[in-house]
Amino acid sequence: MNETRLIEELRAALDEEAGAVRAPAGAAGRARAGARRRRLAHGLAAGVPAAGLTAGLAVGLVIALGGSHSPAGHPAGPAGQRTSVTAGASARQTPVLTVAYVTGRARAALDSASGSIVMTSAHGYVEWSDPATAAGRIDVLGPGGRVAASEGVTYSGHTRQLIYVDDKTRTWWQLTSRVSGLPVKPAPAGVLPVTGNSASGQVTILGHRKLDGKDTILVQYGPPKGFKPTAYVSWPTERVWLDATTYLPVRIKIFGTGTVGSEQNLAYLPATPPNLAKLTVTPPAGFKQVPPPPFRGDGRPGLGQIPFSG
Amino acid sequence: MHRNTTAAFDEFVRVHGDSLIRLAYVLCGDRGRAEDATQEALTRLFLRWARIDDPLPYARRCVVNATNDQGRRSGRRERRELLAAQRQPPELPAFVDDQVVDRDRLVRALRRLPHGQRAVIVLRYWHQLPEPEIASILGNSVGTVKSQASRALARLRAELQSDLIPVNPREYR
Repeated sequence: MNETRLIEELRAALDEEAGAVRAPAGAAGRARAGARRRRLAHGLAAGVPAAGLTAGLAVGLVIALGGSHSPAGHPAGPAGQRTSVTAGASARQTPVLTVAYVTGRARAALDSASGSIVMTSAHGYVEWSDPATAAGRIDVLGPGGRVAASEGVTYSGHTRQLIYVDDKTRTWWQLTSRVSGLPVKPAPAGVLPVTGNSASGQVTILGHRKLDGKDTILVQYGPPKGFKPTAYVSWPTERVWLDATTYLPVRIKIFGTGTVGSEQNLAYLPATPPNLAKLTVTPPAGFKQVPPPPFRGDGRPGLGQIPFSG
Repeated sequence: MHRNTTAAFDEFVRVHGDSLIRLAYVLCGDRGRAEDATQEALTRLFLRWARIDDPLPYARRCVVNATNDQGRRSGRRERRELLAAQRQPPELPAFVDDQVVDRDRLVRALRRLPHGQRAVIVLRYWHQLPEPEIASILGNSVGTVKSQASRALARLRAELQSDLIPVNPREYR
């Protein structure tokens, strides 16, 4: 196991180990009450000259007030509230990272990004898709990360045009077909399906994480409570890293059972002419046009022939 | 007490409370002790709340120190329990894949690290903090953080590669 893998495994292990641990309710109130008691005890102790008496008084006071380690978290009385601490931290306004808040922001961000070009990169391929027009392009990567094949699909009304370029055989084919109904527009990748813990699974906000130097918020979708995997049924855990500023997904990783997690990196590009041009597949000069491969049962060409690597 | 200060502190705990207790939990390995350590850390934090600019690093430092203090107090009893736990094979359900087993071993190996190394590993690779910030939290130099991280990773790797968990009875006496 190399160092990168070890660190990744370690991170995942700690996420699993501690992801469900939550601060108990009322922790802030108990801390404030404890601090007041301590401050009061120290203040009185400092005012008494005799050391023995000081210690006795301080201990007595702590006992009388319930002890600084009291788990009950009694609210302090009026005397405890008159302390010398001044305001100054009120400017710290940090959003509360609840499940509802984070998923709500993510949904809004995805809605507002519906006019963007979504670039998805993963092991073995890079994909561009335009949710507004359902057009898309996928580059299949071969050894060394070089493009082995490209497929582009565009729609014009009820007409779909498919272009496939095979860099290995230096051939290409195209297919124009009529589609029944309107094309199904792809949803922007990284849609967050659940807004709370339910039978559909548990959502956990694992907190802020640095991802390639950027601040992100890590959200985990796990199996519902009490879910027991069997030999036939498993429930993979999905982790989504959201950009902490835009709340758009930047990475999705799925941890299946016994497999290395599949990972997708996402980028939302503005629909500028250069980015829109990425959706178009143009056969390079010198490539030979060939007839499309045999059709499958669903009417689409035999895309199983695309040499997917990985 | 100024109301805004209280509100800001409460909000800080709401936002970072879970992260702090998780830090405490992975450092001490016990839910109850993690709660105690976090409570102690928050109390210390509130005592200095108006005098610190960035409360999160200070809170992390308090958590690390509180778990370290607990470790010192629990001393031999904890080590004996740890030794006993290490001698027991982990209880695993029927359908568990290798990844789960490896992660379980990884967590147990992490808990066998000295507290300082454990804290460096957790802050560096789980919280993904930069080394200078970890040095500031732990009160060490950046060089010490680097060397502790390196030693800890080497030890974790070595423990994962061995099928048997090494136990030195003298260490736990």
